[in-house]
Amino acid sequence: MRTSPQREGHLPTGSSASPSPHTDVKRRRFLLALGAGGAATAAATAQAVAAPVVPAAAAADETGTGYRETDHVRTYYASTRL
Amino acid sequence: MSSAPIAVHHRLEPEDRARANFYAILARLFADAPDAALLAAIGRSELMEEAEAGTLPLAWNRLVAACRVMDPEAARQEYTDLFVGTGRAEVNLHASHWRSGFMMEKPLVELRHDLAALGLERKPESTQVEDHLSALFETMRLLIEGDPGRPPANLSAQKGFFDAHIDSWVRDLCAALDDCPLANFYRPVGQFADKFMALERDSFAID
Repeated sequence: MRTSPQREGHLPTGSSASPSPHTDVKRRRFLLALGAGGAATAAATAQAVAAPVVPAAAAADETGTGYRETDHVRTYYASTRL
Repeated sequence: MSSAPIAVHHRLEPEDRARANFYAILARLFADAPDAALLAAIGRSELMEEAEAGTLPLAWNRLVAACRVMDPEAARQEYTDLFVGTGRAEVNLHASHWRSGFMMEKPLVELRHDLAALGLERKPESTQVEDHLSALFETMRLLIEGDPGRPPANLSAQKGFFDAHIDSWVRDLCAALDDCPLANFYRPVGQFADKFMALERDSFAID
């Protein structure tokens, strides 16, 4: 059975708490198998379709009003439609 | 809402860029059947070197080859047959289906909590539940790549999300897809996903 995840570990904290330089080098060497950029065009094409999840903050920025469609607001609007 | 490809604003190491790209492609392929443009784009992608048996490069090259010959209409039918179906999908793409042993909806509640902590939420117009494989892959892409409004998440945040929400069941899903007699185009998709997940798992384990 899995242990429950540590909440702190899920928070993006920018560049802090990076792995040690040694680990980083080992990891990058390991990931060299992935190559570099060979799938970039395909990835851009894939992302042309709306993604299922969005950053909440960015979604609010797009409206330019600071308005954010929360679950509550969404429920309200849904209730106005029949 | 349609949107243009997201502009790249953060400098990433080539390996992380490649990871983000593969997550983007897999997120899209599991979200819906590929259209002609996507099949063509993947089909034009560079083949990977050192494509030996059982490796990620070989799985990628086979996926590229499959995209070159796949008909979009057939892909659409196959996606529907495999993942939508009538009543019960042949292969279920939701984490909650695979993560037995939990109280009902507990993984989904945890996922929503973790997404909120990461500043992410489901798009209101999305018909997908958050625990759909496509949404989980898209979340990994966002964590790795960041977007114009947020920096890339560090490795421990990426590993935390992968361990908590993907790792425990994605292997079973890929195996089921591989075994499914209806799978044709989605067999190499699943095989590539499986190899990519194995690489992620192993690279996160490096310390």
